[in-house]
Amino acid sequence: MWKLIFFRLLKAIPVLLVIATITFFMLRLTPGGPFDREKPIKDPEIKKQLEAHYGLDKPLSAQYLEFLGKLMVGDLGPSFKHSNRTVNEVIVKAFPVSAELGLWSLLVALGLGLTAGMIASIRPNSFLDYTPMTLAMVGICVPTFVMGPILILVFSLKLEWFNASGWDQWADRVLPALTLGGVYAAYVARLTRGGMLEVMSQDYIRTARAKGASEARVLLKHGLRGGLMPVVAFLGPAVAGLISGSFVVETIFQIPGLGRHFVEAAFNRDYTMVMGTVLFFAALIILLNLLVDIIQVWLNPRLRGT
Amino acid sequence: MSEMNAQNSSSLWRDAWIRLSRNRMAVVGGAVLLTLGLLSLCAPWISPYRYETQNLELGATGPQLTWDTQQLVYGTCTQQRAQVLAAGYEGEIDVLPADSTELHRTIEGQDYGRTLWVASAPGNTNLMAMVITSEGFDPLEEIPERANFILLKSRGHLLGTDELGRDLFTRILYGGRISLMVGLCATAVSLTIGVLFGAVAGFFGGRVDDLMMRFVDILYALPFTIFVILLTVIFDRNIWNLFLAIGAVEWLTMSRIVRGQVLSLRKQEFVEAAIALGIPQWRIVLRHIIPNCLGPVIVYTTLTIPVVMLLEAFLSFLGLGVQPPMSSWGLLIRDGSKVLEEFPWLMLFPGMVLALTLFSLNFLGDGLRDALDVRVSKD
Repeated sequence: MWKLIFFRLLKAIPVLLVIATITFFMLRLTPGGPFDREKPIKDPEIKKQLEAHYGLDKPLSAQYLEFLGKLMVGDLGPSFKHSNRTVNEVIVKAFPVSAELGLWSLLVALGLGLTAGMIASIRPNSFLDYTPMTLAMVGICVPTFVMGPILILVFSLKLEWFNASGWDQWADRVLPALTLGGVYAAYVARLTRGGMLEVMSQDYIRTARAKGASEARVLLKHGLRGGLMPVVAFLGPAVAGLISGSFVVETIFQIPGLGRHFVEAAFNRDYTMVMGTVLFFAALIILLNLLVDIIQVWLNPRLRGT
Repeated sequence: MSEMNAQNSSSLWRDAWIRLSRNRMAVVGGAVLLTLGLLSLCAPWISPYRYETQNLELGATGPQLTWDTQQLVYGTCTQQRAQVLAAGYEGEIDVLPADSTELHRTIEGQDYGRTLWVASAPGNTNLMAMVITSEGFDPLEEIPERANFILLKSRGHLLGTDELGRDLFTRILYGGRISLMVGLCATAVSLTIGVLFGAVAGFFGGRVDDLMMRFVDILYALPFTIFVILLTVIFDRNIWNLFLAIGAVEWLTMSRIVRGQVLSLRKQEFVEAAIALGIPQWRIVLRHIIPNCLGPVIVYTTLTIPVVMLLEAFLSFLGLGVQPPMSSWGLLIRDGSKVLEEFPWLMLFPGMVLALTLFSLNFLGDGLRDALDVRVSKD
């Protein structure tokens, strides 16, 4: 197990390096710089000084090497747009917000999804099966940026239960988490149903029933463990999706998270900020995928040898 | 041999077709898609408006659910504006007598439906307007004694209009062209890359396969949405770049599926026979291998289209997709969600159409998967 983790982390290094390089040159080789947008700086002297201050006057290869050198020690450089703040500071401030949103959403996804999927799998092709599965299909087909505004319209503008935007009080978490988690709840429900149906026809379930285990115990102890496999495998891509989905949700609900910073930075050509967030997200996705793999091995003993 | 092959494959397709046509949801999905596609394609002939035609006086009006005129705008406007208005209502303009008594006489006994008249007095840049119904006409202001009259026959707006007075139904139709086109073109790009990449990796196998699949593994780890956003921000935001950017990131699973198929096909006799006959390798890949893994490819393609369309809508929602005045469903939803409280229909209708399309595509994809009986992992 430790070997697996070690090698996976080792493999992550070249991946991150490739990402860093591609992003770096993609950003730099295209026209437009961080000081060309909105209020273009007319005075060439000022622009020169600004560029010298941020090291943009050096040859590209020198900048690239300097960037890599700083990256080695975890320094992502100063932000071009948020003056006087480094990218590290921005990330440290904004990431906890995104992470909290992600966690709540994951909770919604698993809570709703597992329940719906389990219910549907108890009696396949019955009313109990069709209702949650139809709901799940609706959840998949109504994208976050439609669901979010609809939730706002109903629950904050008409019923006035929640605020339409913001991230100050506990209640502000509800609508964003439902919006973001809803889509994944739908997928989780479908996968849980499929996984459970497959598992419940296995011999060891019959054995469990034969030895007189209660139906609840068979379902939750014996069934769920195997039935969860597809769900866990899905969590890897889901986490990546949660992160990118949060761009939209953070925009809709005006949440000061990292996703919004990334989109803004990309618009503004805030080189260091874009690089920083891309690398941060990439590292995060790699780590979470690794975590998912570990959970999978833990759930399925048959995978342990490999 | 080729004859036998053709016979086999035709019966496979016929079986699949029969199974598909028994799947009610899939048939309904297919019909809905076909209808939406045709409506979008024929937008200029269906809708009396154009997607960029503004009618500022009208502003945002609610859905009227009819083409007939229900409500008309009136008020004074500048001559220039009247001309713009007139230009918007193509081919529906009559120039009427300049004299108001003459005007009375012209209207009497004629059924104009409900029409909007805009009148202008010589030397006065302000135009006067009034609403005319079949019962008579209702002057809003005193009509100048001598004036130029323009008759505008205004129609209703099926699903209402946006704040600029643009017909929402028309914009959804034209937006559908973009959204469906992105769905098709970007999927085509991903299909081409994925199939070729997978086929080459699977056919050559060994080290080449190893190297190519390792590359795919690395790409899987990339935060793709982030890259699409970067691509669309950095390069010109034209629609072709959008196709490429989306297509370029959605081919990974396709290449894996094709590779798996090809690996098993490669060992079969007909490929060995082709090799023995000395047919060049590229020809074997194109003519013998790829046609034989069409089933899973088709199924996965139908499942890729909704993903791609969603990605386009997502990008448009972030303001990275097509640019106004052109519209796509994602863009309409974005614009609508900004004025959600005042004019909820501006978001609800495009949202419903997008959801309906995704619904249909998913059901059709599932139906095809069952019909062709292939196991495609849904990711």
